[in-house]
Amino acid sequence: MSARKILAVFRKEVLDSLRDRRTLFMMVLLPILLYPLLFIFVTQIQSAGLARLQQERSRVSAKGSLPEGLESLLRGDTSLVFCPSPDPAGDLAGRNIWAWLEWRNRGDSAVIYYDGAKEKSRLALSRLREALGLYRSGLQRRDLARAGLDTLLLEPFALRAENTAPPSRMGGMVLGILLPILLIVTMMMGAMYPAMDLTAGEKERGTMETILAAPVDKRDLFLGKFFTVTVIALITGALNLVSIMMTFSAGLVQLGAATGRMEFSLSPLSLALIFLSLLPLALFISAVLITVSLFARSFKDAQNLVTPVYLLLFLPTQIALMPGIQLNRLLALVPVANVTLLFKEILLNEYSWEMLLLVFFTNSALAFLAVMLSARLFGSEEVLLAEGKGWHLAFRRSQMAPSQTLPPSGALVLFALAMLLLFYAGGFLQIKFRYWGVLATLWGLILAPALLAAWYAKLDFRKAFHLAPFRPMSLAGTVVLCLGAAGLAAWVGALQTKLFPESLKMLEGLKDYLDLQKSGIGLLPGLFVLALSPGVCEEMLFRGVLLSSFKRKLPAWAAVSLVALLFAVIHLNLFRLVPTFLLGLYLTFIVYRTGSIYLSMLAHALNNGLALVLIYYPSLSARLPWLAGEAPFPALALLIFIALAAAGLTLISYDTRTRRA
Amino acid sequence: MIKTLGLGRSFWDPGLGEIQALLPLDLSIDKGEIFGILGPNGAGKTTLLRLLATVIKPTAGTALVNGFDVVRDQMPVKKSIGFLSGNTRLYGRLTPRELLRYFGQLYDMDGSAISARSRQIVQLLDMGDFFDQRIEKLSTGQTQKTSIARCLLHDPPVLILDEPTLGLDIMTSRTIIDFIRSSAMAGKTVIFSTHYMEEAELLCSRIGLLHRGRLMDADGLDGFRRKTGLSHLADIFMEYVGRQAEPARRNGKEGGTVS
Repeated sequence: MSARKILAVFRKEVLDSLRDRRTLFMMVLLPILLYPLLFIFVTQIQSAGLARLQQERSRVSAKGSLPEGLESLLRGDTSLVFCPSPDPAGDLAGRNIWAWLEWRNRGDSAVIYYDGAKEKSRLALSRLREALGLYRSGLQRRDLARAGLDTLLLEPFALRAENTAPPSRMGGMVLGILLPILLIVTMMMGAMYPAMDLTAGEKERGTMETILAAPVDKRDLFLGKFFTVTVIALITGALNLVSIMMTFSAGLVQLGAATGRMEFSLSPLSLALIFLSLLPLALFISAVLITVSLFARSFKDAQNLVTPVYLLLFLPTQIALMPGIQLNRLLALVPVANVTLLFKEILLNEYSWEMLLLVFFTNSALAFLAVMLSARLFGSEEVLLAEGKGWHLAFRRSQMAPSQTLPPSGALVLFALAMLLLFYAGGFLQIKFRYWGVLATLWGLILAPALLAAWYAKLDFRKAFHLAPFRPMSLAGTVVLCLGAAGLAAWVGALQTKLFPESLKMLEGLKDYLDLQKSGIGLLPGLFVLALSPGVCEEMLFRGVLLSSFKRKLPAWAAVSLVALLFAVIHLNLFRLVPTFLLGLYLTFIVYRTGSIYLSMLAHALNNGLALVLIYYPSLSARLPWLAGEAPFPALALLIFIALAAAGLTLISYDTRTRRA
Repeated sequence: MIKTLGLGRSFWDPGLGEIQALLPLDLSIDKGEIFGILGPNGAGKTTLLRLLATVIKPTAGTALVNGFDVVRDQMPVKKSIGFLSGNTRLYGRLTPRELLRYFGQLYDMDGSAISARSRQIVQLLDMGDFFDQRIEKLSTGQTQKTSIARCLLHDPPVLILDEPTLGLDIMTSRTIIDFIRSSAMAGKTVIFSTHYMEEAELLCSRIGLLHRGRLMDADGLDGFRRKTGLSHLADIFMEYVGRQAEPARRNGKEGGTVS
């Protein structure tokens, strides 16, 4: 890959796109023109219409004879025109009147007939109601006076409602619904034309072969195009944001008169957060649109393909319109919908950092997957030259060349896939089926994808999964290291609880889960589910395919820390991030040095098993309260653990020094 | 300068299965030669030239272009060739100047080298009048000159031209033919495909006859005349097609024996 060439492609494509009238229109002209038209004219027309409606008197009628007081009240009402008629129902249908009153049973009840589909009729209803209310309270007043009672009985206290939301929040509420949807839709519109133009358009105009014969790597070409589409999407979004804000602050004067004072302003922080959450979304949308357009042979073809995708992407924004809906952990995983809801919360200043990060990572993972897919397709000559209908060749297993390990890009795709599976299906399974769900997650969503990927890419299983024997000294080192590291992990956990007491609450829930006695699953089945299975399944993915892939292309320290980091990230728990990272670090180290995954499986199972056993026997944990974080950690224990860990590391290093040399 | 080593390409079609677009062939073209590839539509001309230009990858064998392997050393091969075909059209929304700048960057030329070489080419091809107009506004002849300019920008030793005169009027074809001649005189190797017999007769030092993915023979015009006793290239081509078809027909009748 060459940054210079990516930049050259990017600059050319931007220039080319800016000269395309369709792109330019969507990107610049539409936002500048649309909102003034939409807001100012529509609100003007609406408020003018409303004012005229309010001024106009409502024609109403009645059936049967009304009491005299009521009739004179209706005739005297300046908002009504009372026109008696023999057939008021026909008049209402013929729109000669807008409502009519039926006086039944000599005044026991009254019915107002109106046409709910007509605004004028609804207005007549409320006016009639008001007049009848006046008439009724007049009667009550009269009767009370006759009985010699105080009229205060009618209204023992006065009531009024006051809006305490500051004007900025009112503005946030109104915009919170509109802005996210508009921003996302306009970003998609902005990305749509360049995405089609730079792929299908290029094929249609016959320039694809010209560029493929030039000395530019297909990946560089793809990235240049991809960044162009993303940047145009972001600029379109930004211009729309600015235009909406400007029109809105001008248009608010009129809306404010009707709904109370409103203000709209974005703090620099909110603006930065909006941009931050828009970025992965823009990447995702661009990659999806490019992917879809790549299948088309012509611009028109691309339009047909993109339209349903566009609607599919648009649909989730409607979730934000549902009343009372709020961003939660589950919705944070739904692309497009999550950003829509997050925006609303940012505008109302009600966001949480947890949701912000969750949304950001979900969309980043999805964007990454979409980009990899897109790049893969772009590398295929069948897709680029639109020949032989065989675009699916890019993904046929028969076209894969056998190899020892996955390429790092493939490894990252596998990781992102496993993480998303865990997000979407794993959480659901574990809530619904408890321990069976954990089992299904580990074997079905972590191990199975790793094995499938290895089969699909025709990997050498022994190399890719480090299925190699180990020597006794390495085994001894692993056990010693694991004991020391488990103790140190407890110390790190205790330290963290001291620094961030709130993390304790998060861990409480986890402890219930890990208490095999309380949950009734029993020690051995529990150890199988929570110690052995993670040991086998997670190791096969992380210390297997991922490590074997990364260690080929990266220096040792980078490969080991990357695997450990991904291992920590997939556990999806902010408060266990550091301990899990450390665990991942030494597990990866063991396999990196010994080349045998069996040892890290053992260490992983041992690590989990020790914690489970400790919780299972309360008498044991009562004797060692500091391990559970319930007493200060003794310095001696700390020293012993450090010594054990160091001894384990030394044993492994010593044993494998000869092997590596 | 160009050497193919069992170079072949098949395509996979969901309906028809494996299609041999180009059967493995061995061919050697020397420096300064104008090599013509003659064949009807669907003979595999475009496939062969696309393989040499690294636009597609071979499914069998490989080829050396300017000493570089088209499978392993794609970038040096791309830098050694100028590739022109009916499918190598230009970006209409750019001007010739912008186009040359863009391609210059892709060929790793620096800014001053690009402008110096552009000036040279503008003079050579007389492009001054339209150098700053958008390509979509240019006439066919002007566009073709711009395409030639793109091919020559990085001064490649090898030119690969796929039916360069297809659909052009007499005047524009003449520009291309002159371009091929002067390139060979400047010591460049030219391989080009055509189905115009007279063009091949006029220009080529050697001609390859391609039919249904098979290279039937390659020789100079004189050599072909001697071998067949025919004088016109069109007749010579049909003679070869006939020789190809006969054993095949016999093959069908006699159940698989070929003598």
